[in-house]
Amino acid sequence: MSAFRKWFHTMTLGQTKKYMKLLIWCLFDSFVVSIPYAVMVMAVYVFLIPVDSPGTSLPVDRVWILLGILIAQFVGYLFIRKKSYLDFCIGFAGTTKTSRIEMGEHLRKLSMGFFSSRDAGDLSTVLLRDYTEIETFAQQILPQVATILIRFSIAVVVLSAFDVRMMLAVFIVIPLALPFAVLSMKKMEKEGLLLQTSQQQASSGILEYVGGIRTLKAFHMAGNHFVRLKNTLDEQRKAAIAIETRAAAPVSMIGRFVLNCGIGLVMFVGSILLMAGKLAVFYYIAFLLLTLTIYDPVLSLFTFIADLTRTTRSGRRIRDLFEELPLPEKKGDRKPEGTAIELKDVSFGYGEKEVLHHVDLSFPEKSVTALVGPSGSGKSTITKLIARFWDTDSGTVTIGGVPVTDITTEELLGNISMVFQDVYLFRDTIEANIRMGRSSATREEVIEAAKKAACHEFIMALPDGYDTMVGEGGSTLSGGEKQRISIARALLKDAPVILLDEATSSLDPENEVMIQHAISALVENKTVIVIAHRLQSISNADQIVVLDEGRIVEKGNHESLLEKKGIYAKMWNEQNQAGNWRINELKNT
Amino acid sequence: MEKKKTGFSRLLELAGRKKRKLLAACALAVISSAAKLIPFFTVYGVIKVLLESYNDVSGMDGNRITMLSAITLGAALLYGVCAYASSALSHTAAYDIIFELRIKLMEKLGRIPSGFFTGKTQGGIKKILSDDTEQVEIFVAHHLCDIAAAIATPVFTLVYLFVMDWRLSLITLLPIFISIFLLVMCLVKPDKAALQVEMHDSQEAMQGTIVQYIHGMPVIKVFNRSISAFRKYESDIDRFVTAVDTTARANAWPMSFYYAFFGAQLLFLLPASAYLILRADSYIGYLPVVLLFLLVGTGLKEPMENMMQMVILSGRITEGVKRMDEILYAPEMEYGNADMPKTFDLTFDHVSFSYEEGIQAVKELSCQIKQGTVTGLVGPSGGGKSTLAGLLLRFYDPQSGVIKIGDTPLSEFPAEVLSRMISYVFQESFIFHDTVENNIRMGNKEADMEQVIEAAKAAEIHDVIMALPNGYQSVLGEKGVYLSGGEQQRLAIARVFLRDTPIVVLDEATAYADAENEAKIQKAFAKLAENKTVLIIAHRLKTIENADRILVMKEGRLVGQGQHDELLLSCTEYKNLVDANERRNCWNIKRMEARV
Repeated sequence: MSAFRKWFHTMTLGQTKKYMKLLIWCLFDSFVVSIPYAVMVMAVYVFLIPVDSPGTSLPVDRVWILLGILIAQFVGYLFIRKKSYLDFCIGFAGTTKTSRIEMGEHLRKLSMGFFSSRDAGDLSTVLLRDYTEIETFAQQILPQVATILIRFSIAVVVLSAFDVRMMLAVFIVIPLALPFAVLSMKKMEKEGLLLQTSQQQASSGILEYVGGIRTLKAFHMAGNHFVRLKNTLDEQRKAAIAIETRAAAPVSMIGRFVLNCGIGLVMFVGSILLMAGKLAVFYYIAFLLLTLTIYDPVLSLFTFIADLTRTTRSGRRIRDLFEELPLPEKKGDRKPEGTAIELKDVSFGYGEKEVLHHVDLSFPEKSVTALVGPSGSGKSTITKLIARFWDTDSGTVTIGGVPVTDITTEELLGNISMVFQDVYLFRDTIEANIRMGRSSATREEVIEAAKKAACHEFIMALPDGYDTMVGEGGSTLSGGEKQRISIARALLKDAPVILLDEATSSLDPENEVMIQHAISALVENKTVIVIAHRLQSISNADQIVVLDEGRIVEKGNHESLLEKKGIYAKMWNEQNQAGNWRINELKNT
Repeated sequence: MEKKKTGFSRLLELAGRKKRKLLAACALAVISSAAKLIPFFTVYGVIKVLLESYNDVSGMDGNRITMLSAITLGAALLYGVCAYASSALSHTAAYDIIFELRIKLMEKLGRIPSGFFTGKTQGGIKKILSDDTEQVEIFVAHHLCDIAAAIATPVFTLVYLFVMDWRLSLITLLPIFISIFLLVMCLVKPDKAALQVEMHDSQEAMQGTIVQYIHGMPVIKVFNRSISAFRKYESDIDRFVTAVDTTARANAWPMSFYYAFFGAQLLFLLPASAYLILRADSYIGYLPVVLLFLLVGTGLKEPMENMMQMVILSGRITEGVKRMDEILYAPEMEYGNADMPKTFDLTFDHVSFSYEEGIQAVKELSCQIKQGTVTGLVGPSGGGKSTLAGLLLRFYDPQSGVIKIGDTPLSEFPAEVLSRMISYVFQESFIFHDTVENNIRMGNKEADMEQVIEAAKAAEIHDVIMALPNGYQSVLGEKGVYLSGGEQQRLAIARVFLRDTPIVVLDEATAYADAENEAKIQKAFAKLAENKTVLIIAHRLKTIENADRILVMKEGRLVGQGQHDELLLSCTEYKNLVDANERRNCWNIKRMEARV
């Protein structure tokens, strides 16, 4: 039962009470909808009176009474339906809205680490598609369930008053058909898994194909030549067909067949009872009339059961997201004194694999520290721990003497500016995008920051200058321009700590010189930690830290590290050589 | 050219690929829905029998009732079997169609110019291939047969009813007509239509905001803007729900009339029946007809409601089909059937190209590249370097001018010949989820293992491969088998070695970090360039200092060509580039004066 309750809680987006209210109204609605059926049976009775007792004529007064009931039902139903309609459109949209807003509030509190470890596309799918799925499901399943419940309970009460044996004949087929529906669902689940794997394969195959289309074309392997994907797609086709022809359909069809046999059964049993004199003719007729409409909602329910697994999955994804915990936040309002940063015996891993091992490192206030080392050595993990994307597994990170876990997120992030390689621009004006840095900035300050970040010129060349809208994801600006916008943001924010990830991909020299200017403006008088790729640009940093496989292997300034003739010196020489390389050298010698 | 169909008729056209199967499926669906109606008539038959001997049950025709029961059971069986067969057929047809469509789309993607992909994300195209095609299934496997059944069932019933008694049939239909009339009135009114538009717009705005809220969350958090971003998120959701609310309230009365009338057959039938039966020749003779109408009239509501639902649903599918057709109908490249030329001199003759109208990426460019020489291509980003390389590889065709290999224009070569003449090392190499061997073998399917290894050695990647768990048989992208960016590029170079084309286009990668890799790639590049015609897009000017010739591009034009020394003197653009390069290379994060 508690499993069901949990499921129900999930499917109703946690608003069980509101759903119960809606469900009760649905029950009432279907009850009123069912009145004409009852009137129909009574009308049949009234029309049979002249036959039953020859000589009497149709009792018109009773017809009037029935008509009165119908008119009352019609008028009453207008009002009931109006409320039902509003409930359906607004009530469900309202529950979804409440839950979506809760989700937005919840997401806001989750750590930066959560967002960098999850695919944003997947997350938005949950917020968009999964919610819609649940909403549609609730909109369809609730009235169905309500109709079934009402029709059944009315039928059971009324019919058993007439004749219990006949009632059994009506309902016997339902327990007989139910196992088939359940079997169908089970089989669907099993085959569904098969389909899912082939779907995943096909979908990653398609992504690979689309991503590699240029390469495939260059080697003349596009289209039909890419046999592997074709095979995967064929497998998916087969799995999908199998699910329909072998798993779901046959079983549920047997269920349908069994259900529809009910009418014939009632007809046959009734005629035997009738001839034995154990059943009145009118009762027989009444039973026949009612069985005609009683099985349809059950059939619909069968089909909904098939969709249940999919919708449940949507519900589970929403619940899982709600269950993600934000990093614990201490209530205390300790403010860091100064911006010296220190890592004490810090170890950290993503999942099981530890990527930083017992790192001790201090970054004095207003100094420039460069982190260098091969990719995967833990450089960016260090900067992310400082910004508290995640909490360390052991050891502490402090800023201005206060552990980052004791500082509120607002305070912490207020002290840090991050300039990373991938820049996200909002679908808004350039000005608004720069103003992200500080909402209270005046237009002059925005322009000032843009000028310092070498953005002003290209912005003025845009059709509407600072009021130009940039596209979703900022697709209309070049990579270098986006970089500079992000630096302008950081300049406007003017935080005392700068975390900088030097771009790995070099742009053309002129563009890059401009970015370098912008960075120079940004880092002045700040505590700077830079993840460096080109050693030349950090050769005069106050401190150079060489990392390898999560450990600090060398530390010092440029000159002292060169003297050591260790990894750094080797890297320095290699970079100088590679930088001076010329094609055709072999040819000319 | 064939006429391009859209919307519903396009869906039918797609379904037409499996005409026979689907016609059979629809026929079976109609039979099954007819079978589902049979009980209404057997019950009617039983009632008729009962009325004949109402007051003398013992004299009743029991055999007829047994027979009618048997027919009812048979109808249930027929219903089950036909519904199954129909669904099996239509689903098989649907998945066959989807499969064919996907293959078609794949092939098509291989034939359309790469320019098609600019401005589209890989995710977007993937969605078309995997999700939008799936929508066809919903139509073909479900809606098509359901529509056939949903139309056939009420039509059958109505025809039968008309035969029985046309007056009562009209009465039965009356409330349904009123309902549909109300619905149409409701949708057509201009103020209601405006509400629909607002609902649609606000929904789009909400979806956009949600996507931005999530994708931009890292930025939002870093700048402590989560409260205000959340407010926008909240208010856009609110706006949508308000739009739903207003629309629902505006439609509430008409919709409740719609639903109420839909279920009001009895309200009209009852008085009409009473009126007619009292004036009938024989009360008992007319009674079965009345009972039949009472019965069917109340049962007609659901199939009719289903039919309305279907019509509404099908309209939504056409969106996805439209996106699919955008690919299927995209113009293709045309290939000739020229043979491989004798020489591989490259000629660009007044070549112009633009991605978007009005903005030319390459303008009136003319130049020649002699066979066996190394040519460097430099210039600021956005200057047209990559576009020029793309034109040479026929990713796009120039809007005017011509590119020739030897004496033959590019467009006259078949794709296969072209790919044997030119190979390309991309800036970002694409590695397939497959074995190392197969990844290299892309270059040449027929190569034997030794040649593969030789190519890997030439590309300086052999040692790395041998260090992988299964050597050449390691599947890349699988757990633990991962190549760094630089190694990936070397693998891509191995492909090109195996391909061994006379012309090679190199796009110097900018996106790798460690110097060791860089040195190896450079070594491989140099080996690859031996005895070939090479065009190298250089980002580091040093790389091409010794090239036989350097082309300088800016804003789509060739602004200088010659050797390094000549250009330094003659071409200001080149000189600026070299200067910027120098300045970049000695930039330091900390200003020198700060250290004093």
